[in-house]
Amino acid sequence: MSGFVREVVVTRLARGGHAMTFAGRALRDIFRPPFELKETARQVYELGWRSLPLIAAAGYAVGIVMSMHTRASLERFGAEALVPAGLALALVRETGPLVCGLLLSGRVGAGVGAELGAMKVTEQIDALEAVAVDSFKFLVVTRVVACMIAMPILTAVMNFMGMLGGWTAESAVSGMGFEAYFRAAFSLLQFSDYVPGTLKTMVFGFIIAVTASYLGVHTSGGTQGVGYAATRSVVTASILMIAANVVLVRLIFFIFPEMAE
Amino acid sequence: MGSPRLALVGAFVIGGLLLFAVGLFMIGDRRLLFSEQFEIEADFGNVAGVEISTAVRLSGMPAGEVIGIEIPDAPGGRFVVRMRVREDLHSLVRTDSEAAILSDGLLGSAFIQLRAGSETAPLIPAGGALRGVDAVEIADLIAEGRETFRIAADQMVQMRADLSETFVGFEETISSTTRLVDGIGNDVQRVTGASASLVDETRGMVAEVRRVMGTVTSGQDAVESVLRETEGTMRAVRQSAEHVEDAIARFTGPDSATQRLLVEAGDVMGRAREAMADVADNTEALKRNWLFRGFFSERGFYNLDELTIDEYRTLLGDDRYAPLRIWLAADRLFETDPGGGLSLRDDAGRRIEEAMGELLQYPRNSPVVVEGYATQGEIGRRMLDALARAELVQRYVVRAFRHASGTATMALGAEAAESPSGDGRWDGVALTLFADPEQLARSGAAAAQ
Repeated sequence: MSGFVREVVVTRLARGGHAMTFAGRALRDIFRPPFELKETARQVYELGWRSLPLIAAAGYAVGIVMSMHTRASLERFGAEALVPAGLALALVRETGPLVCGLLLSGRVGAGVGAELGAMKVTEQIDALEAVAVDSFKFLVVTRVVACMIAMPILTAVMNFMGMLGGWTAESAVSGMGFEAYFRAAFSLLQFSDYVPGTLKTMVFGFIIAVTASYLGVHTSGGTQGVGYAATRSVVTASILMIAANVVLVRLIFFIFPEMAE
Repeated sequence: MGSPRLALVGAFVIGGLLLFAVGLFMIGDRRLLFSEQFEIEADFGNVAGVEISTAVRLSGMPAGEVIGIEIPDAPGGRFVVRMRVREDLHSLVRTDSEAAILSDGLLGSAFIQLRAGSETAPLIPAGGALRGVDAVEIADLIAEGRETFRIAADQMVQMRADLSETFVGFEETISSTTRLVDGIGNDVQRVTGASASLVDETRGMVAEVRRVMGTVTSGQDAVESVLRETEGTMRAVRQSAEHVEDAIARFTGPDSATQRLLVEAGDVMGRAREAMADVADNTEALKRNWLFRGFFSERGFYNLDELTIDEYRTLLGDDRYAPLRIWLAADRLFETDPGGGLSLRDDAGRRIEEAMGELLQYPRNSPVVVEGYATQGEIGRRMLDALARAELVQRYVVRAFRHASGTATMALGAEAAESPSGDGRWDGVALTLFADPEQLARSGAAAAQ
């Protein structure tokens, strides 16, 4: 029994270490040529551009729902005037990045895991290696970089669409103008809210891409393994991203103490 | 990858960066990063709610933000808050401007309100210092409220103690008054006793003198006896005089308690007079009440309400009642208020008192009827005026002479056959005393003696 436990623990730790090595290699290779710009651009198109409708629609809906909830809460205290600022603060600081990360981990994580898993089980990766192409740089690093580029942009889109949804809901209730709403929305925002909240999504992008790529390139068991890799990519990437968010928020509070006040 | 896709990627990246940049611009614009500005500072003892980037407003208008807070070197020092303010508002910030820490309602965050200075004051230079007005915290307000309540409670306790002391003082005053009244009563009794004794002794002395004068020639012993008795009598007179002086000194001496007692006694007498007037009114009402009417008539009271004017005039001519009348003219007694009400003139009291003075020479139990006469207006108006005049004079008589049980009023209109006017009419009142002829005869006999 103890031998089985030891084997499981050792196996898991070895797999974790392997994954960490994989992530470290991906981080290192980002800055090492060749940069595979064309493939990176293609991945930006696939992961970023094609995720745009999903993110925009989700952001707009989230903005409407948050505006309604925020108004209902602040109305009790007669502070309806704070609805735009409160919504913007919540969106920019946490809701926008996290929802965007979760949505992208669902769409991109599954896609990357399934794509690389299929390439693995059909030995396409081996074929790339056979023609002297660095499969890691070509398949993994390009996706990681594309994700890290796409995530902040998609988060900015999500924030903007969320505020737009908030304005839609607010104008329906109070008839507030577009410019007045956005001025009010940015009245309480600070750089320390906006910049770290947006840039931390690069870390989310890195986690999503590395997790999906790792599970994809280590797929085994044929087509069944591909599906398994896709599912595990989404779950693992989401959990790791949420866990990383806790650490990142703590880190941001440490760097920008006024945010914690 | 075709060029359209690359273009889309480029648009995606550039668009995303632009969107991000717009957000940065909006925040930067609010923080005045893209407009001209100047810095000022203000010192505060309490900077509750103020932090870097706290909004600064000038007369309610967004004007800038806090860019730094300098902590004092020692306890008791003041925090220096540095602010960045829009240059276009510089002309409103003068050296006498003030900076106050306020809050946007209960939920709102704190902000610094700059108050525009006066026109005559010079512009504040960049980096200049304004006077800071500290933030008002809810906790401070609650503490102040508690202090106010505590002071109010102390005041109430003090007031209660003062009231208790006052009541104790009242009790002591009442006790001393009672003692004084008792003492006065004793003195009066002593004076009365001494006076009686003096009268007795004087009578004895007079009798003795007469006896002695009758027998003055009977011998030297008798004269000496008279002298001794006279000497004893004079001693008794001196003692009585001392008692009287003592009593008078107690009444009129400078002792404040006595003076106070006299003042209070005056008040009591005034109230008693008012009470007597009320009693008179009530008694009059009772006399007219069907339940008590019999009771009063058995005791000799009369009710003129049951008499007609003609019956009353008949009584005036009846020798059994010997009526004595004093006529008082209306123009010397009454005046009309600005509101149209009838009242007595200032000197009316003296005239009524003179008239009553004559009537009071007769027995006090003789009823006095105040007859009212009026010549102006119709018969109804005349009767009303006559009644009002009679009642006014009756009230004065009751109040001044306490002649409550023996007065009545009778409104007789204009006709007064025996009036001094000579035309058989009278405008005013007449005080008529109905005396018992037998009593009058007895009084006359006594006066003659």
